[in-house]
Formats: sequence, structure tokens, C-alpha cells
Amino acid sequence: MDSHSKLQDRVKDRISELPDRVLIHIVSFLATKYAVRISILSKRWKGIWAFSPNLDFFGISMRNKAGFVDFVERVLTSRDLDIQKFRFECFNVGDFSRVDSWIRTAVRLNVVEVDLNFGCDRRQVYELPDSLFICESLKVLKVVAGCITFDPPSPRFPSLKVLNACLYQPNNESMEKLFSCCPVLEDLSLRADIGDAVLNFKVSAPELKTFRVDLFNAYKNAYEYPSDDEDEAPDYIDVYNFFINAPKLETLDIHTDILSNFFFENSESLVKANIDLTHHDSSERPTFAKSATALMAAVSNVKDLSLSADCFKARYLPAFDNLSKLELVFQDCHHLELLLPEFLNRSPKLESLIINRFDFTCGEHTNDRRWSQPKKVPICLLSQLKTITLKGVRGAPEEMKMAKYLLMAGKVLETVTVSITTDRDLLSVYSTEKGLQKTFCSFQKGSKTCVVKFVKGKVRRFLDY
Amino acid sequence: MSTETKKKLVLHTSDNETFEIEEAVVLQSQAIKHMVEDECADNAIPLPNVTSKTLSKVIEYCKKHAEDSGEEALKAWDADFIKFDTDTLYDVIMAANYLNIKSLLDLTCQRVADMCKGKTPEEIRRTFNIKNDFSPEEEEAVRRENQWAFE
Repeated sequence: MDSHSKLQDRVKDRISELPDRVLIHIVSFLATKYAVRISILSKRWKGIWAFSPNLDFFGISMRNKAGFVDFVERVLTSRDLDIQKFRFECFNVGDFSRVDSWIRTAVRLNVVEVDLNFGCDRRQVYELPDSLFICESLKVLKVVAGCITFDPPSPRFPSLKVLNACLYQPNNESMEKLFSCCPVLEDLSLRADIGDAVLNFKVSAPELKTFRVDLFNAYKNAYEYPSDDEDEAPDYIDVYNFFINAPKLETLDIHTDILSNFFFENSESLVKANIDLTHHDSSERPTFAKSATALMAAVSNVKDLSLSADCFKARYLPAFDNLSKLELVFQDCHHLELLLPEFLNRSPKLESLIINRFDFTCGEHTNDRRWSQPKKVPICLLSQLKTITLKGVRGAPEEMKMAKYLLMAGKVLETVTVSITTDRDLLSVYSTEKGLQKTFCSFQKGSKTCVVKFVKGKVRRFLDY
Repeated sequence: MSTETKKKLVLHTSDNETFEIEEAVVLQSQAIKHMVEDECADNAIPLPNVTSKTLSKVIEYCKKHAEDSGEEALKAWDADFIKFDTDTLYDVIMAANYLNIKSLLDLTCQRVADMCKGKTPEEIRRTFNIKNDFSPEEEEAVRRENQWAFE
């Protein structure tokens, strides 16, 4: 027993010796519920949690859990230190006026970041409080909510730099007003489960640099059933319209299941665009050609483009005079072999090309795709294209014809990286891993400095989409 | 290609070891950055509060973060890097605080916080060898005051 107690003495409580500033920093990473538990560790820790700059409350429901409401109430009423971050998560709020009073307290304490998560219950209509709109210290606002409304005072969001909104079935009025007057906003993300109530989104932000929009479930509302009158064309609902006035916009990230109309006041400042049209049949819609062409024209100035879209036709593509990096993400049945030559022809400055093929077959006629060799070698292949990355390679004949052409025609290629598909069944239809490697190595190389590398493919889970 | 040799700084630890590191790597420490700006760093920079064992870890972190590996790769590397024993963890926290390396301080403090999450106070005490110096009445009073937090 003697040696045991000696061991206890030797094992020191080093953590409590850390300076106050560090202990407070540790506690700042804890949700307030856990931070409070820290207060009974020892006397040293008792007061520490109250100095945490962050308040983070989460509770399942406010209705029957009086304890939760009392706890939040007490913490906020006794607080007189400024708050850096206020986070509140509860999916069953009941009385929003309580929450609003807490937000007002946070605003009074010069909160810099507010993060609200009310879940996706559409029946709970949340009205964003005025105090948030006029808060001078607020730089970051994140909101997850069902329908939101507001009657914003002007001017609004005087210091807001980052706005993330994740909304379920928002109404049209809020989408026209919420983002239309943000004087210093730099980063805007909108994620929305779209119903049929919203048609127009208005974004007006003179300092905006990054705009991300992720609309889902738009597709299910996109088709009305045809009327009994057979002569009448099917009644398609209008696509959604984005009116964007953001003269400093650099990065555009669109992820949506049907293609909306994007109207830019000007888009010359755009440097990077990521366009991901997830729905398969969106190209069958009559307005698709027009929307696609307009969107491509709007991003024609970018240096870096990533595109995932089915049935994009050559005629949608403008000249991409500045394009230096291009990524094309395609499913098995998309017409990559027709589109790639067009992209190459229109991108004289292209230095890096990534072709990312999904391991997902939709069962369409894969025989329709034929690699069509460009009549004239595209300029970028002769003098600019240095790196090519091929992902999800399975060894299909047309695919290999395309790869062979790129290797032969690319006169300044330095690195070609090949990542073979992880879908063994798909691969075995055409070849083996070793067989593919041999084939690639046997291709004639147009560039003396070209090296072909093989890397392991990453298994892409469906949810990674 | 530039043939200029990268400038190196010399750091001197508490256990009398010297480390010669590229300036760009070490400048992630705001404390050292200020010393360099104030021109106090021509000779070896003494670090009386940091052992060579700890400094190795700090330099390993700074070197990785001076590279351009991409956000995801860096996060994965950090998650692996941070798996030290609690003694080393305290040492690195103290060093990151002393050298003022914000991202390393965040990473290590977050790690301690993660070790506390979801544990009862008694479990946390055991993890960090914290002695409970409350009387039973005092402890009960604190629990009652914020009852919901202990549920």
C-alpha cells in the first residue's frame, strides 16, 4: 500500500497548473452543458467556465424540459462578459419569444458569431429578430430553420461578413429580401429544400467574394401533370431565378438538381466556378439549353472550372479564354467523349485537366458514346496542358481511345495520373488492373517529359455526392 | 529556380539542445516572429521553457503546416498527430502558448476538450488526475445550481 500511495503522489494533476488563459481556451471548445460540469472538478476549475467566450446550448425540446430553459435563462442573465459565439440548437422550440430575448442579450454583449439551429419543421415559422439585423458586432450568422420571415429594418447587417442559411421551404419574400442588402458580406451559403413557393432569389452584396447555393428537392416540384387536354403542352413550373449583383464575386459554387436561371449584373470578377447538376433528366426540360448557355457564358472568364452535368452540348459552351484548370465529373452514361474535344478547343490556356468518372452506371446506352478525334489538335494540347488526371478509369474502348489521343497529342505534358476504378465488376468487363497499366504504358507519348503515374482509386460512397 | 539558400534560425532548448530550422517554418510562432522583427534573433533564440522533446513535436507540426498539402489532408494529419499521451499533450500546450502558435494551441486545447466531452466529472478527474477539493456540501450546492447540466 505504501508504494501505491507514493505512486499517487508522483502522478501530478498537471492540467490544473496550466494558466487561466489556457484553461479558459480549453473550456471554450465545450458546449456550455459540459463546460458547467467542469465547474465541480475542483475549486481551481469552479470559476473558469464562466469566462468562456462561447455559449453553446443544445436541447431536444423547450416545451417539457423546464430545466433546459431555466439553465439557459440563468446563464444569460448572470452574464456580463462579452460573448464571442452564441450557439443555440433545439428542434422543438415552442416559444420563440424566449429565444429572441436570449438573442437580444447576446447582441447586447457584442456577440460576433450567432449559430441557430431549429431543425426542419416547416410548421415552426421563425421570424428573425430585428436585433440580429441591426447588431453592430455581428460578423457571422448561421441559421438552420423551416420557413423564415422577417421585416428587416434598414440598413441591415452592418458588419456581417459570413451568412450561412439552411432553410426548409422558405417563402419567396424572404428569398428576395434576405440577401439583398448586405453591405460587407463576403461569404454567402444558401442551402434550401425548395418547395414551389419560391421563384426568385435576389443577392445584392457589393463585397461578396464567395457564393454557394445548394438547392435540393427542386426536381420533385418541377413537373406538373399534363392536363387532360392532349394538345396542351405539359405544364412545367418555371425554374428558379437568381438575380445576382456581386461585382467582386470570385467563387461560385452551384449544387442543384435542376438548372435555375442565373442572371448576373456582371460576372467578370469570377475566378472559380463549381457547377454540379445532380439530376439526370434535367436536360430534358425545354428551358435547359437556354439556362445552360447563359450560365456557361457567365462563367466564361474563370481560371478554374469544375462541371458535373449530363448531356451538355457543345453549343452551350463559350470561349474560355482564361481557363487554366478544368475538372469534368461524369457518370457512366454522360457524353464525355463528345464534350471533351469541345472544351479543349475553347480553352487555349488550359494547363490542368481532370476527368472524374463515377463508378455508377445508369443503364443507358453506353454504346452511343464515341470518341471523336478533333480535326485540328487543340492549341492547349500543343503548348499549355501539363497535367492530366483520369479518375475512375475502367478500360472501356472509347475511354482508352480518348486517353491514347491525349497522351499522343499532348506535346508539353509532364504528368498523367491514372486512378483505376475501384468497382471490380466494372473493371473486369474490359480488363484487369495490370492489363490497364500495361496498355497505358504502351501508348505513344507526344511529350518527352511525360510521366504516367498510377494511384489507388478512392472508393466513392454514394453519400459523398 | 532560385538558388538562394533559405534562411535558418537557431533555437536553444531548456535541456541545452540546438535546432536549426528554416525561418519560414518557425515564423508560425508569433513570439519568434516578433523577435525576428525586433532584430533580437541573430544569435540562437533561447527557449528556457521548452525541452527538446517538446520542441521536436512543435517543429514537426510547423513543418507540416508550412507545406501546401490541402485542407483535408492537413486535417487528417492533425488528427493523427495529436494522439499523444497526456503528459506530452500538456507540454505541447504550454509550448504552443509560450511560442504563441495559435493553430497548434487550438488543436491541443480542442483535444483536451474532446477528452472531457460526455464524461461525468468523476471520470474527467480520473483522466487528468484532478483532486476534488470540494466538501460534499459545496459540491452538492454547485450541482443543484445548474441541475440540468448534470442530467
